[in-house]
Amino acid sequence: MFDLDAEVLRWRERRERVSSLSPRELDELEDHLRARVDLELELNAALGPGQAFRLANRDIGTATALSKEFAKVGKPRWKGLFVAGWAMFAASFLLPVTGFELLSEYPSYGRASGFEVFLRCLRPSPFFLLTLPTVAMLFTIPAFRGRRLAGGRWFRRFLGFAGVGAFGIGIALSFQHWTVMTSYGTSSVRALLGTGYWTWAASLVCVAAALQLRARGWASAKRVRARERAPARSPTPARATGQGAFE
Amino acid sequence: MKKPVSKELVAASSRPMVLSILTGGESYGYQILKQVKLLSGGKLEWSDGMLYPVLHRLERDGMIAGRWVLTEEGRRRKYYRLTRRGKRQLATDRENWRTVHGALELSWGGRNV
Repeated sequence: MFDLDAEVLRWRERRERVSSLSPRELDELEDHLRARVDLELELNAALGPGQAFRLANRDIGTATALSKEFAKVGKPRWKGLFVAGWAMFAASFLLPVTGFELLSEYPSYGRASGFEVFLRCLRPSPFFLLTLPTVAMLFTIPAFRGRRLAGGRWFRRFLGFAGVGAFGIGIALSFQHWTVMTSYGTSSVRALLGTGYWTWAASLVCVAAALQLRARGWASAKRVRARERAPARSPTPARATGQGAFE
Repeated sequence: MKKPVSKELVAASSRPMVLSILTGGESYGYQILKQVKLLSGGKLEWSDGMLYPVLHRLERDGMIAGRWVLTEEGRRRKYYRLTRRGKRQLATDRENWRTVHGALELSWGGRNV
């Protein structure tokens, strides 16, 4: 026997897999599909639910055709921020990240590029933790193609915290002075974080923000509080449907 | 049998059509599509998949605003309403379409029909 719900679920899963449509877009299309099935059944009582579903499915279009239509809306706003974040991330590997400044009479600078620092952090040491945001960034690559990220919520949270944390640590370190022994005697040393470091921190924040913006469009609708449930007899059609509202 | 209205004309009229329909109150995709068919006597052929990108573009441009509602059947449905910007745009579109329509009517009035 034909199971409409199971068929609609399969229809939806297929589109989730092969198209770049977001769950919210699919929610809307699923509602449309079901409404079309209801109409087909209403218009032609001889039709079975299976045939009605096939007709409605045919009219709504293939996953590819739908993706093309939705792509006409234009690039989503998050994409620019995401690309900018990744550009900064790539640049941070070439820019100087670390160094130190001797504040005594012999100022000198020691610099290392982002790539060098990354390689050094890969060695077994507590600094290994610094490579984690970089590794997490790699997992966001599928977002370039509009793909869904597995555990996307955790990635964007992690990247956001890491970026903001990196800024905080950077600012705190900039005010720190240490006294060290050098061949010239004691010197006051201040950590000098290069542009690469700040670019890296900003890139993490940018990518996290872009993923957050994207998530707004991808997240399933959430139920709003009960007080916003409208009375059943309301002049607007949205309220007339009664059970609850989504934001 | 008459040819259906060209795709270009359908696309050009999609914005004022949706905005006009929403002046009647909140509505959702499928209902809007039915209204288009009703108003045009079935001559404007809007494909099912074409409507939603139009709605999303209008929403992105701030001309309509959407909100999600749970229907009696437990389905999520997005209702759209006209915004102030949408009303202003509709007034402009109406003026422009009337100008086009008027000019064509005049040109066809005596000589070309």
